[in-house]
Amino acid sequence: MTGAGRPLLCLCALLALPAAHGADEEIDHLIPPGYQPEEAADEKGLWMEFEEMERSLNESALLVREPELVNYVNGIVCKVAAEYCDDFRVYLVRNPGFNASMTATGMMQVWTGLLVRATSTDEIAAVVGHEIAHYTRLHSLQGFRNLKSKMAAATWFDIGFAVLTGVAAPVGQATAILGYLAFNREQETEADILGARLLAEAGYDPHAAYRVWYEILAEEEAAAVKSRQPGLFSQTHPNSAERAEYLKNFVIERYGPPYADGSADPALLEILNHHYYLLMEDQIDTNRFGRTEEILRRHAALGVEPGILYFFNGEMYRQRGAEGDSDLALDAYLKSAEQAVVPPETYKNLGYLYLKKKDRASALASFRQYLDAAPDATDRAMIEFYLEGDQ
Amino acid sequence: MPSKLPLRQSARFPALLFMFAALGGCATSQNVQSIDRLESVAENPRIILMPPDIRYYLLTVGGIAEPNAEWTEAAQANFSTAVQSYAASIGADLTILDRSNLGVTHFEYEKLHSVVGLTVLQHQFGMFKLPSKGNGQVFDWSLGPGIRALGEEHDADYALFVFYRDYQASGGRVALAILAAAAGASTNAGSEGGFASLVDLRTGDIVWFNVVNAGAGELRDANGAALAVDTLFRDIPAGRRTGEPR
Repeated sequence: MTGAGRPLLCLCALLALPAAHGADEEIDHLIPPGYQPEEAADEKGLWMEFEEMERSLNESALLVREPELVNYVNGIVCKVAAEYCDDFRVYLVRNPGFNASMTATGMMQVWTGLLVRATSTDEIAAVVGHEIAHYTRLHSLQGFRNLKSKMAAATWFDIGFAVLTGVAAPVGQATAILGYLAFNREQETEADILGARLLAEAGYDPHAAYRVWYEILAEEEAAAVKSRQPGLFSQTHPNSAERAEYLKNFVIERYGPPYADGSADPALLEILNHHYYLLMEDQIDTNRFGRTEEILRRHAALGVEPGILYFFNGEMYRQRGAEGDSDLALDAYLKSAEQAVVPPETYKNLGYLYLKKKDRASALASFRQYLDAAPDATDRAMIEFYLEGDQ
Repeated sequence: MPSKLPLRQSARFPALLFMFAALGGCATSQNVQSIDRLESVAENPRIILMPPDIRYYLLTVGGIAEPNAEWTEAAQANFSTAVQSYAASIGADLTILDRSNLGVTHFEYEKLHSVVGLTVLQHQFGMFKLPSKGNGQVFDWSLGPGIRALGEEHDADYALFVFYRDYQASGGRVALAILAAAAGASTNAGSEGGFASLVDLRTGDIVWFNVVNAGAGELRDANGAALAVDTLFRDIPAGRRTGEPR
């Protein structure tokens, strides 16, 4: 009976695609703080795999170990997690993408790309809340079980179909994959709603929960090359506009309209000012000009040191290297050099641009300024070579 | 927003499943060696066994591989014990490294070995022979001379690396495979296999490499592990046997 019955159930489930959760249906934690895997073999197996993955991650060269950054992110996670704080190990990973992830074991990854996109600590907390909700709702485990059972039912269906008709076609399996992706979207919505609640309960601004998605939309708008849709992400996640919408409705209904704020976020500003190079370098290297420009604009509004921002504007033009970009880069570096805080690299890159323009005197003056500002520069010998060539 | 790791992981398993399955149906082992005898300045060649990278999975009805912690732990323990007695029988001085107190370097080499080994599998024994390796006729693979530091740390001549994966078909999966066969379709009903490398700790070169698949032995029990070790290490170059001239 199972052979014939279950695939049908599976198809029905697909047709009756669940709508987004309404606010009336309360989504809560499924596990207590300090949770350990149950005696179930699949859960223990998943934990084994994730623990192995964590061992790798611990040794990863991409891990950011800068104490100020690590403490900042850890602080946010602990505040949102409240009594679950001790369940998480947080890893800040160098990656310019907008993402964070969580495993069933409490291994949480936050990408540097999230830190450069957020316009407030509350927005980072919003993403963190979403990930914590995945954890306390056991989403990894349930996702795995869902995939297993859907694929099992589907495989029986396909073989049964082949026996009856002589035609081998993975109709059931294809359907099961679609069903699994839908299940995944449902989990995302759950995590969005519970995450927004955790955010508010921790004392962060719950309106950050949807603002972060509007900012993603704004970045997409500014992008020179749009994300290709539909990708796998769009199959497993509700789209950004949809998320922004239902989160906004939920938050306003529950916590009231947004209070006019716009006040600066000194904690985030300090983090950006202290570690801008580390955080933005990878974003510059993506060569996604429109997106980088949008991010730099946001940072200017936040009050990041203009000397640093002009330098990165210069970097952006220099790396793009289109017609007229070296003049734009030169202009940006010159503006950077006029500010109170000037990254030493501003002088170095000015030097190289002047060299290209065959303005040797200006180049050498800039190189000297560079060595004055950064006497321990790793490329000192190279710069001195240019300076000596003059004598 | 979060990456759904189980899906990404399970997508990787079938590739391995097929890799071993493609190497043949029955219990076989193939090996390559570039030395006949282990060399050492000591009485017996000193070998370290890196923590064996062994993993057991349950292959569920729908073809999703489910990692199994209990089986994996049992297999790792049985395997280490079996290797210890095997080493004694070939006249090698073997030290088993304990996973729990190893440094980053060990871990990195363990990962590097998995990657190099899977590459060897694909390009030396598999379908994609490389002209740069004499189209499969030249065995020239190395983990790099940087591994010398490991040899000095443990005062050893060779390191033995092991990679092994076992996909046990569930009852449902077996039933499905039978039904599928009746319908004329083929379904993977589990597989097992792995490889071992002996690495010269002065050069990093893989001086001996052995692949085993299907029916190599059941690592979850002690006898099966002994059998598997026997198959996996068959033809490993031996040290100087007692009574032989130096």
